[in-house]
Amino acid sequence: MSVPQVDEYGSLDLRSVEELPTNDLRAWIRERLHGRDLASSGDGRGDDMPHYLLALLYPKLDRPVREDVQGIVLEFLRELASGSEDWLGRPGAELLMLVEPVLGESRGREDAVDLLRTIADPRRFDTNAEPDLHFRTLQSLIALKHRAPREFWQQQFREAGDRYSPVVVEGLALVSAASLFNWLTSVPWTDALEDAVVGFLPSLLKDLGTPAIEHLLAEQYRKLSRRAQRTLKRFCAEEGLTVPQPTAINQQPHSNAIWGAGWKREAETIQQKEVLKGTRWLLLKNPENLDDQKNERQRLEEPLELNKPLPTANYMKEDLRALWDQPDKATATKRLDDWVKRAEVPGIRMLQRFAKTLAANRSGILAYYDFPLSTGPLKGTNNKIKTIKRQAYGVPDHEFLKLKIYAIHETKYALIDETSPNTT
Amino acid sequence: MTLTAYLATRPAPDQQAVTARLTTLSTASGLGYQAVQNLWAESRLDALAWKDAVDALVAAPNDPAAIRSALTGSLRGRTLEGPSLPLPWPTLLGRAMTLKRFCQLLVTLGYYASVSTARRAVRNLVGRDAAVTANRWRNHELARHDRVMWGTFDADDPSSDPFGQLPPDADGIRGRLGLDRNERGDPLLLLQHELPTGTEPRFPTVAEAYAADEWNYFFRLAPAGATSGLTMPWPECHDDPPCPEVVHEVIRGAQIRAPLQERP
Repeated sequence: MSVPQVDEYGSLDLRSVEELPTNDLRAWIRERLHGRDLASSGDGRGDDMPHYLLALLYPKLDRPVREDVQGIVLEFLRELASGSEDWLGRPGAELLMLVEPVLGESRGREDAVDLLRTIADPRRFDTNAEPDLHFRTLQSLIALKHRAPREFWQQQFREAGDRYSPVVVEGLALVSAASLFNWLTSVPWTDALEDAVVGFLPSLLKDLGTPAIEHLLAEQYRKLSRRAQRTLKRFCAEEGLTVPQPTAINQQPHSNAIWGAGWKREAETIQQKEVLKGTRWLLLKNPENLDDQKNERQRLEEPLELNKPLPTANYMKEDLRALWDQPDKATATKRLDDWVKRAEVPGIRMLQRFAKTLAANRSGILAYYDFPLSTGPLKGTNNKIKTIKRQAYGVPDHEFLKLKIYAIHETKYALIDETSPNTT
Repeated sequence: MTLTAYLATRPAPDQQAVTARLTTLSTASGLGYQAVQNLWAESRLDALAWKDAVDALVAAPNDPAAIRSALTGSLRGRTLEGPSLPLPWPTLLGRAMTLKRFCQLLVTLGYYASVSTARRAVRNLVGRDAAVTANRWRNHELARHDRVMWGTFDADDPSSDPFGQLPPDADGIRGRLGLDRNERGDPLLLLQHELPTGTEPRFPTVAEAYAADEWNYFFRLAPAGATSGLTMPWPECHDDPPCPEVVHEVIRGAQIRAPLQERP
């Protein structure tokens, strides 16, 4: 078998690769992907990507040789798809990494997609294996711009978890950007998902342009979790995009507690208890927290349709939440005054009463723009203290109670961690 | 301790076997020759590391591929055992990688689904404030987690740009740092980072140089008394001084401290 020539420093002679008979070229590529090519140098810095030299050389080869390489890679993929043990583990992972640079723009792309769909059968490879050939296969499908159905990608995420975020995010975006953003409103926003989204958005931005991304964000923003909103807001600011309006009422000085009490009273006065039965609490939830799996969005629509004051009040509630994201205090003051005036118009007693409360606490509320502090941590701590106080068993005296309070920060529960879905 | 000194403690058949294996490797290719020269010259590894290497060599058949595999396997467990290098704080370490390689690496590590997406993400960050890059890559390891990272720095002013004294073009930098010559002509990505507390920079040894499946010709040991490792420039940069270099544990993107640079 002839092999490509290398000089004394391990540099490959491109011409000698082009002059290899096809059989020898095939044998050399196989050896290289199996980590058995000794003569050519690599980076030597520990990244170990035997496929990389082939990916690097491929565009520099003559066209007939490139076509030979395409055929060889397809042949190896067929072997992998047929279950050949020769390609299990690292060699298979290296082979799959060669799919994008070699077959991405080739005539063999469709054949490669068919083979990859076969290989992507979740029963074929263990998704916990290292290297994860299933994950590599999905990466290759995306690299070939294959549009698998939305359900296919969602299933990958359900089965493998958020470590598959990069492929699921990009796979869904290939279906449509709207599919991706819709899906993002329905899954927990974890570190891995955040990295994948923020990593992928520059690419989407380049493909779709700023207006399309701004439109998509504006549409879905309110349905996203607060953590996701914060991340996307930061991304928008960094990329010069219009920052969507966030939702923030829970962490501001006047919490849902005030609103919730008034809401309950209003619901009672309009005597729609039967309709509200079991759904009243949905009115207190922020829209982005509604659980589609429990059909909460639809269940909330019913009382809103039946009771005219409710959608009005609901609209006003949402409108008030925007108060916390004004650019400066002057704009916020204007917005608050405007809200109070409008709240008096609909003739809903609760709204009027609440508007009065807001007006009375106007300066305190607007002080948020001088010192943007949340009362959330304070309320959370108070709640902890109250809970300890009520759990009187095991608290023999006041000094011990004090010690228990001082030790709150050592409890296993997060006091205030709005970023965690498991916050208690 | 040197390999010669350690071999003196082993029985004669082991000494002969090791000499035979290394002769086979050194005559197989230029890479093998360079590696064997470095193995004989290495003095910054202890007896335990040499024991692993010698045991592996003695057990290996006298075939270049098997010898290389045995060496790699034994040295991989002995990385980051060279003497530690106390660098002043702050020291900016520089890592130069061909853009294509870095994007392939990010995909291999599973952070991106495709190389084209990774390339767009990286290019999006080139020239941006370091805080943006550090935030976006805060969870990304910048090399395979079970390996090491190499970094260069400015010996005169460790807090300054480690590439400041190097030529402006990609191949000029490659040549001085002794990177893979197969990548000549491709754009280079320059990263600058600080080490997190508790991560010690160390002298590079043959353990780091030959622990990877792929070997690079351009590695040589720093002479005795050197204050850090030294790169081995390409022959065409023969008149230029080598750059200081260290090895350390793999770090995350959160440690990036300067804007990414791309050099054509």
